[in-house]
This record gives sequence, C-alpha cells and structure tokens, in this order.
Amino acid sequence: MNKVLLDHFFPPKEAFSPPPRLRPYKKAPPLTGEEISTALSQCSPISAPGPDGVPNSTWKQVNKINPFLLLQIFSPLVSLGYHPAALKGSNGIVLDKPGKPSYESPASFRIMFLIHAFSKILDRIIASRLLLVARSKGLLHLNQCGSLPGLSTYDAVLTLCNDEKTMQRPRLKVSSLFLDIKAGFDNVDNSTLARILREGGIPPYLISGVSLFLGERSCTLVFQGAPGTPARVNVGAPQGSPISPLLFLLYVAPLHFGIPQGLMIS
Amino acid sequence: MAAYGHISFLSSYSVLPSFKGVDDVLSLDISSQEPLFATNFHSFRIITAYLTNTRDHWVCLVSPETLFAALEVPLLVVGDINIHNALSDPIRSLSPGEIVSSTPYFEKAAQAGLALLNPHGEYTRFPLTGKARPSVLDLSFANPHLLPMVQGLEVSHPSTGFDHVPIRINLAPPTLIPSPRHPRWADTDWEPLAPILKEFKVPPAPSCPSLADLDSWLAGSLDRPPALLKEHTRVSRPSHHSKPWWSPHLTTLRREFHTAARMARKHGTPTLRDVANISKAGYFKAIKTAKTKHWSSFLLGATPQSLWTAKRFA
Repeated sequence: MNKVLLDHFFPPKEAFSPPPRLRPYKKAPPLTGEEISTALSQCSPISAPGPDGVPNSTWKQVNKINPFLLLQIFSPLVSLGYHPAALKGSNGIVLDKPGKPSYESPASFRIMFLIHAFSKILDRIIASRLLLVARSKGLLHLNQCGSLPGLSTYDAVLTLCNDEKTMQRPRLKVSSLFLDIKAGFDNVDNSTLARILREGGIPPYLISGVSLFLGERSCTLVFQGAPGTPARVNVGAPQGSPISPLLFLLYVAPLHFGIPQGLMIS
Repeated sequence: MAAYGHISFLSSYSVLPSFKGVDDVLSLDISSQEPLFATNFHSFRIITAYLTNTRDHWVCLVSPETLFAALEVPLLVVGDINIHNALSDPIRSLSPGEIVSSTPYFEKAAQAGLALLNPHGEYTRFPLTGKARPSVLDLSFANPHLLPMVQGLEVSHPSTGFDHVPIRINLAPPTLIPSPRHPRWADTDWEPLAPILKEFKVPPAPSCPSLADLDSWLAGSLDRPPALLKEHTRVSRPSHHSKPWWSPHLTTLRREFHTAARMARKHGTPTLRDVANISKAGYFKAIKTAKTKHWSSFLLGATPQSLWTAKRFA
C-alpha cells in the first residue's frame, strides 16, 4: 500500500541536480529581524509540529529571548539561495477524502505533510519576498484570488457575479465554465516552475531557493501498518508548506494569461 | 445446532454446555486448570444463537436478556439473530421494523457492557440469489473481561459455498504497549534555558561552500537549539497507572460513540441520532461505572495508613 500511494502521489521524475558549489547572490537583500518576527507571528501556535517535534510556539519564545539566533542561521540560507536537505524531510499523513464510494484506489486519499517548524519559518520568509516581487512584476493574474493576502474565494465569487450581471444588463448571453485542476499541488514540476520564474524576472536567489526546496524531498507516509521508511520525492509542492499555494498560483498563472482577449473567465 | 472442537483442544480443556431448556441457543463453558490468556480467569463462556423458522419467516426467539448477561467471566456472544442496526451496518437504510427488532438487543448488550466486535459495515452475508443485498448479519459481542484478549475479527476468508462467509475471531493474551514519551512543550523550563539561549552563538557560515560543507555547518547550527529545548522540557510519562480505570472496552465504546456521532452529524436522520444518543449514553455510563468500580476496589484495599490518601482523592 505504501508503494501504491507513493507511486500515485509522487510519480517517478528525473532527480533535480543542485549546483556543486554555492555562491552568495550579491543582489539578495540581507535578511532582517523584522522579517523573521513577521514570519513567526504568522505561524499558528497550535499547528502540528514536523519530524523534529518542536512547535511554533516554542520557536516564538526562542526568538524573543535571542533574536539573533534564527537570524544567524537563516541569513546565509537566504543569501545563498539554499534550502537545506535536513529540513526537506516530512511526515505525510494519509487522510481519506470524505464521501468516496470506495477506498480501494489511492485517488480516494489525500496526503497532508507535517513539515519541520524551522522549515516553515524559512518558507514564509521566502514566500513573502517572492509574493512582493511577483506582484511588482505582474506575474499573478487579477483573477487569481486564492491563498493571497487580502483576497479570498469570496472576492472571486463577487467578481464572477459582477461580471455576469454587467454582461446580462445589455441582454448578452453569459455562460460560465468551471475548471478543476486534478491533483494540482502534487503535479507542480520543478523545472517548469523554475522556467516560469526565470522568464518572469524573479531574482536568481529566490529561484534557486524554490528549486532546492522542491527538489529531492523525502517523505515518510504515516498510516496504520506503514513501513515508516522515507521515500525520495521529486515532484509536487508539499501541501502544508506556507510557500506551496503561492508556487502553485505562479505555476498556473500562464493559463490565465493565455486566455484570448475578449473572452473573460472569472 | 452443533459445536466442533479439535481433539488436541479437548484434551487440554474441558467443554461443558451451560444452558438447558432454551431453544436456538448453544452455550459452552470452557475451563482449564491453568489460567487462560495470562489472566486470573480459568474459564470463559461462548454463547451462540440462531433463528427459528416460523411460517416461512426466520425470527429470533431468544430474548436479549438470555444472550447478554453481565458475567464475571469472559463472555463471547456470536450468532445470526437476523437483526440489522446502524451500529453494525452504518450505510444500510433501515426500515422501522428492523430498528424496532434490533434496538432491544443492542441496548441490552450496552447495558451489560458487551461491545460489538464486527468491523463497521463489513458484510458477513452475500445472498446467492442476487435479489437481496449483502448485509452484516453475523454479529459478535465480547464482555469487558474478554475484550482485552480479542485481537481481531476477520471476515475475509474464502467462501465455503454458503451465503454466510467464514468468520475467525482471534483471541490472545493482551499486549500492553505504553504510549511513547513526548516533550510537554507547555512546561519548558525557560528560566535556566534563557541564559544559555542568549549566549548561544551560531558559528559563521562558510563563504563559498559546497553542499556538503553547508549541510555539515547547518547540522551543527540546526541540531543544537532543538536539542537544548528538549533537554529543558519535561517529558510526559504515560503509564498504566495514569488512568488505571481505563480499559480496552472503553476504547471500543469510544470508537463506537464517535462513529455513531459522526454518522448522525453527516446524515442527520432521527434513527442515526437515536443510535448516537444510545452510544453516547452507553460510553459515558461505562466510564462512570469503571471509575466507581476502581474507587470501590481502592477503598476495599485501603489500610488505616491510607485513610488520608483516600480523603485527598475523595
């Protein structure tokens, strides 16, 4: 069962090959204590801890006592565009999707990753920097509302209703087409995402950090009777990481931009 | 009705019928000179019940009181008594007649402290004609004395050609595995830890490192803070003494209660709500009974020296 689930959720892909030697990116802005404090303030104190078992609330207290400790560890990682292998391990909790007629197929399950709290702090820092740059470069389409600060599904529904009513007023015929991307997060391809980010003008240190974050991950599936051995994962953005929703939005943004002019999809 | 025992089993254990004058019921007392299942019990009882064919209808004439008695020895009740209930078959659409006929049996079983062993919704009868639907008909119940010994109930064996599938109930001495220890992060001792964290210096990172250099630098920098935190955090010590009144029976009742409550929340039918209420009442009553029983046994064993301990707990 462990192998069936792993093959379904993480189909074998070509392994990501990191550079042999890392050099500091001179254009990477230095990390500040405020960025770490902001990232920690966004971490839920009751969020389930990752494999190291240390919860977010404890790291918040550590940062209050010694604000330089996390800064000294994270600063080289940000300037080198590196995501350490030690933080890429995760426990994958297998949850059944409710309302399925049969649970004999791996498609009836979803996997929730429990990631190191330390990794989540770093992910939030990278995510906030990436979001800032992506918005300034116009890499996110106006219709993308999910997982972005200040926007929600409510805004998407309001926009859709507004657009429909606007077109219905002059007695135009309006149709809505809803699309669902199957297993979206699980199929984010590392090299394609890196190309999208490169073409969008994202700074190289962020592209390097994202590529190293997604490549060569390991996951230990947790369910009754699981062997408990970590497996290599080279595909997908881990659900449970704060940066994954943003990476998925950037990954699918070309679909929004690719819609021909004159055809509006909300 | 007949019972078969292997010759080697019968040479080690004595098997005696314990019921007389009740139709459709076979009750056997199995005894041994040696304690059974690594417990203090020297005997246990198996009751199996079946149906009577009256006017082309199979009905159970055995009363719930006959089947489900509160015994002080391990008790296993098995059989097909043609009852359907949401506790055994949660996805079946039950008719009012099925509810009326099954409820007294499940209520009496709960009152006597017997728990259903069948995995929820696993069919035990597959009609050969194809007109009727599969169902969970062959039910098994265990009382609190037997429940710790029940390792599982399997219905996945090959068919014998009959419309009921073979069922195997595995009994073995209970294995008590204590829960793993885990840090109690709310109780971290920050007073001695704070000066150590304030003095903690991260060694400077290599300037143009290879991946191996960077990972070894990180290993030193990343591993030490969590290790320090764990050193100054108390570890929970789960033991069998933390809730001595808890039993595997209560675990089963809790699982049944949560399953029934979840079904009631999901579908919201009056029948499922009633089942959830019965499960809830049975679960909390069992907790209360277990606590009372433990307290009584503690008081019975109390000495004049432990009077103040008893007063402190009271």
